[in-house]
Amino acid sequence: MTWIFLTPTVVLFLLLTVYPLFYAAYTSFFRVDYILDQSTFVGIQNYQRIIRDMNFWNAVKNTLIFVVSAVLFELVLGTAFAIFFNKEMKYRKLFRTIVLIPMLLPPITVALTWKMMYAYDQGVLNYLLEVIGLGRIEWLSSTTWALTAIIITDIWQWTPFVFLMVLASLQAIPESLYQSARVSGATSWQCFRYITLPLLKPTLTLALLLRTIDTFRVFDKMYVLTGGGPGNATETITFYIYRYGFRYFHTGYAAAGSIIMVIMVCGVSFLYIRRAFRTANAK
Amino acid sequence: MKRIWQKKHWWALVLVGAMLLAACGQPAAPAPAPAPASPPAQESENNDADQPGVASIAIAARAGAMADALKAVAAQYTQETGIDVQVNDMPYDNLKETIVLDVRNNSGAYDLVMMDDPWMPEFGQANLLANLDDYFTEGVDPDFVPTTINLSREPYGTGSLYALPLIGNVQMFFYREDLIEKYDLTPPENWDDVLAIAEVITREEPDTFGYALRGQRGNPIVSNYMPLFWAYGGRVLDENGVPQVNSEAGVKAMETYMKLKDLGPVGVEAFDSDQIATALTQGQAAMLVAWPSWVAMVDNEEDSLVAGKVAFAAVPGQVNESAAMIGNWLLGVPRTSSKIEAAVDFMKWVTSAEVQKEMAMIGGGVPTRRSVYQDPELIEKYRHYPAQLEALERSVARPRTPYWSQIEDVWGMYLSQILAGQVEIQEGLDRANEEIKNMLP
Repeated sequence: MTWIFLTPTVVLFLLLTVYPLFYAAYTSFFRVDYILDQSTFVGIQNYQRIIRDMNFWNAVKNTLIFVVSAVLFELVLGTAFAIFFNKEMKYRKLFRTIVLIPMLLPPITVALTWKMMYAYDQGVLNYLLEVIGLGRIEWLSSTTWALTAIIITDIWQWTPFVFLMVLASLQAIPESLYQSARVSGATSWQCFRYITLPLLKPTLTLALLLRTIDTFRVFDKMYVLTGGGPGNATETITFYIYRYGFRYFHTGYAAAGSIIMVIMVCGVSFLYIRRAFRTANAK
Repeated sequence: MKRIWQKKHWWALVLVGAMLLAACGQPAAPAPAPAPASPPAQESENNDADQPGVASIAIAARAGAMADALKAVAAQYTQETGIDVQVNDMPYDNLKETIVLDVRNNSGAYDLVMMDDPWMPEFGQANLLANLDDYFTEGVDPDFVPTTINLSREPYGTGSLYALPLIGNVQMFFYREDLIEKYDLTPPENWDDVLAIAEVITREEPDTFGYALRGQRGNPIVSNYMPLFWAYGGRVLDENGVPQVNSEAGVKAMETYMKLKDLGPVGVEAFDSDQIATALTQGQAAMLVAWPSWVAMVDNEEDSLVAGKVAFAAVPGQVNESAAMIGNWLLGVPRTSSKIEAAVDFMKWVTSAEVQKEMAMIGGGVPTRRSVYQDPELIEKYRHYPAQLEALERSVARPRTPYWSQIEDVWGMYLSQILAGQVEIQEGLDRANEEIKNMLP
């Protein structure tokens, strides 16, 4: 009788995820002009064009830089915050809540707020830089800084997510482990290295996976902060797909781009997933 | 054991992929929720004819001062007629995608849409809009400036009417008259003069730069660079429809543009209309090319440090005479609207002389009727109106091709790359031309 309970989930899954995936794959073999409502079968031509497009590879490069640096900083900072706030201290609950706020804000609001802070003349960041004696930075208008500025925004917003996950799993580590370690003369670094870190590993792996998938899809921040510019310095794969899908309405070409992106993310995620299942099965 | 793991892997992969796709399919653009369609759906199927029951109409509008003015007069319309007018404002990119999806998905959420005039050939060819000829059997009011009505017809100037011009923007050249006098200069006639003046002002006048350009990727940089491109004799498409953006004229115009960048405030690579308008009103920049709707506040002492010091002129020429670029916002009715009649009524009302005057007084409106430009009360408030009417009468439209949005986007991306120093001028323009060529059928 278990199938009764599974059916709703399976139906939803087939309808909302599997069907669109295969439909996108199907569409990617057509040249579609959605404005004119025309569609012609072109085989793998869309894929051939994308792979030869320098702008696509530039978008891939930007995406990888973005994913690697944002996820890395989010993991390190989130873990550090979690360990810090796991200690007993006054107003602990209040501080924890404050740390979580960035994650609760709508991404567009976050991006618009940061856009104001990044402004060259009136922005608060450049003001602070000048106060401490450093020069102003062209945050959003120079090709060297624009991507960094977006990465900083993403780190600010999503570090709390890692924080939350790690904090929950920190609290599940029994205190007795630390006590016995200390009795045996372990330093706090050793406690961290040989108790905390190994026990956090499944959580960190999961956080890594979720953040990687999520940063791969980043779109709103580029859309609001730079529009992909200056030049193509902040154009990511999603932005590239968006241009073809929603500005030119070349739906087939955009679908082909999405499929390539799915394959790439699956490739990246594969290692994590295998590790996650191994850990799960080992228990 | 191992086999089970692998099966799970595959399911997990499909899941990951599907999550991603779901995200790609609906980019998290700031999509405003479509207006709650009312009257209820069952009513909307069968009433092309008289619709006494129309309770509300929904408008998709370009966010900014224009939409604010539209909202202000819409409230008045509601008071007069009892019909609720919902104005949903959205950013430039978002507006076009909303219109296309609204019609293609047959949702009928909007009864009126604001359109940038270069979209017209594309929308006309794709049959997205309702043909309005039947609602204007007696012709369009001759008070409208002819260049604006030409844009509203498809094919350009000769075809059926698909819209009415709501915002009559035409690019103009704004410059600080007081600084020109102060340094004993003469107002610029061509782009060489502009460069020379900009150099003097940047060097001599403290905290003021010579020129502010609008360098943001896409539509902003293209509309800001095109006046130079035209002045140097450039043409986007030649007689055979072959793109020519990498012509000698294009290169020369871009060389001048790069020099102007160096005579402007830091960060113009990310500037859009609102930033260049601020640069002018805050006394940071002495000259610029802009759409009047964004610079309406230049003489308002509360918002502007340079009230009364700015002169308005036609955009300078170079090899060619100056060509004022027209860039109107048109108001059309999506084919899928169920309340075409009510929409046309509102369209006629909002483009009438009285309402245009009101919108202009509020600050976001730019008239499309001659009589409004000649209104003494408005001329007193906006002393540039006579010059603006003249520019509008002689204005030139951007190329009429259904592929304009794509050309503009690709061109704008490479112009932005050149401006940001990512590629050399010739190489960037060559690549842009190549890519545009590949996009055209």
